[in-house]
Amino acid sequence: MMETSLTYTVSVTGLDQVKAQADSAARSADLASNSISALQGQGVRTMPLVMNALQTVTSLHHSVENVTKALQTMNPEAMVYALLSMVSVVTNLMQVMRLLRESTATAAAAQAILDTLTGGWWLIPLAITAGALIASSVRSMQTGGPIQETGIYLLHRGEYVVPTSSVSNYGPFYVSFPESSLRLDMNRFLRELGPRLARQVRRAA
Amino acid sequence: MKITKAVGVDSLSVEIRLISERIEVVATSSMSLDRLVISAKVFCPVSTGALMDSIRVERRGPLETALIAGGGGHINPRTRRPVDYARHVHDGTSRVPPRPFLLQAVLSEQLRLAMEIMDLAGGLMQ
Repeated sequence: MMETSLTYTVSVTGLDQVKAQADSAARSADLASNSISALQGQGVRTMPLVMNALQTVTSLHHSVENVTKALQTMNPEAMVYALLSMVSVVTNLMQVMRLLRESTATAAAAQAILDTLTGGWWLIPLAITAGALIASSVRSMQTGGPIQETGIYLLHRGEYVVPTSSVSNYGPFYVSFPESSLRLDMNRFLRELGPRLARQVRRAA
Repeated sequence: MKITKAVGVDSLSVEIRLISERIEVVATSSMSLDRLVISAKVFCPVSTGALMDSIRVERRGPLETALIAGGGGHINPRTRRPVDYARHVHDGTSRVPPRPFLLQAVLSEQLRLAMEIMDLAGGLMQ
């Protein structure tokens, strides 16, 4: 009997992993706090460097937020900018880390702080929820072949969907390019795509 | 509006442990998914409105909720028949294109839901 209703199950998964990550982050935060107290007591001159690391990590958090917003609004341009910003912040973070590692006095504090804040544990529920919700609902055509049932499919870049009319009239046809084409100017490549497709259609017909 | 909570390094571990303790309770309370229903109704194509009216959520467990369209005794006022065409509208048929209103709602709301859970767990929202 045909189902009369359509159901999407929404579930939150991975909370155990989040808890484990948060507990681990909390332990690192304890270490960070203790190390900073010790540094303050000693009046170490590299303290500003540790503070710089904290600011950089905050920037990283903002970058992550921006990527998330771009994903939410499905804005590809904003996503690219946000990702570039994240790359630049991470590069900066790596440099700060290198400087910190060179100073044994601050290494423990820096490592503890960065372990706490750059663990990315706040991203875990995002990734898990995003993955879990979609995987159960959308069918994939990763192995190709005919589509047996009308519905929504997960298609990837580079895959082709051939209309039924073309399949019955001409059979499926594919346009392939030599590997060197990939190194050509993209605008030129796209300009040439139309005529190539037209030639393929004429030959197939 | 953005709410930011400033936490000192000395109290960071306490805050993070609170997240660990609160997250399950918060996730359970966030699964009523009222906004998801609203989103699905916004995306749902409307002719008589019967399909849109049939969109609802049913709690299946502490961390699981079903978003449902069609069935449930809803009747189309024009045909006087049950609303049993949700899948055809959503997934499309050989004659009509898919209009995946449930999937669109889930896609548009899933990150917001995750962020809401984290914000609530982190004490950034009440």
